[in-house]
Amino acid sequence: MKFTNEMEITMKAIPENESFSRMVVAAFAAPLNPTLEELGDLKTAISEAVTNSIIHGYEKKEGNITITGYANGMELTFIVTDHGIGMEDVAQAMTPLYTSKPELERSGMGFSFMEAFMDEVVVESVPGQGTKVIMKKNIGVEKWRKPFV
Amino acid sequence: MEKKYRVIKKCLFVPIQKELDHYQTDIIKKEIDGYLVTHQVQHIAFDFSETEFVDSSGIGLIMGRYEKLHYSGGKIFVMGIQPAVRRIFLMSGLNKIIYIKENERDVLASL
Repeated sequence: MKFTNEMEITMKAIPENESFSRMVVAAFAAPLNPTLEELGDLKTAISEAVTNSIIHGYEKKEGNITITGYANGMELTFIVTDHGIGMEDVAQAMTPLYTSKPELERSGMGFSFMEAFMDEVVVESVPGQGTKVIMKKNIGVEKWRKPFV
Repeated sequence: MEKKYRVIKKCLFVPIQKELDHYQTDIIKKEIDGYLVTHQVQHIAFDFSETEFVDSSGIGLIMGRYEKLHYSGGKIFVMGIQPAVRRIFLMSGLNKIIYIKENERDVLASL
């Protein structure tokens, strides 16, 4: 029978929880026996999404972030949800090197890293209501090697 | 072992912990800015020998320091980077503007 799992965690949108988020996804992915590189990919992607919620979604004010996880065989899905300010133009936000907060010395590479490390990234956002980042990754696949090793 | 910030030959040596994320970069930025005020600092060398994880916040930190220092001839060094960290640096193109060194001795030798 195919292994399936589900989890949901809601936490305060504070920078201390960026590390916690990485541990959560690593622990959730563990039964799939991911390689160190795949674990790094998952941890980086979730770190980017959670950081975005904290800095941009809530602009470092109070709020909660929910991480939902699904394991379906070897396919992992993580959804990072916040009820922050949302985005008018998601496509612009996802443009490489774009940042709405250059004064904070943000690299503008968060979404690029998410898209590089996950197989699929979908972003839903409603201004004034919040943002949902849905990321999928297949673990243990003999995949085409990405150019940067 | 807790490594410390030091200034040698106008180069500020910054120890980076096991993970460099947004939370850590906020802390480190304040430390660095403090040293820029109290010491003569022209270059910065980040010690990544204990570091296993870096995300785009870490890239932003380094890029920000580069922007601040390079107009006055300052250099940014990174020391002891591990494969997982090297991968992130290559992806971000940071390797084109910073100097990758093995250790402190190599950094001092190129100043």
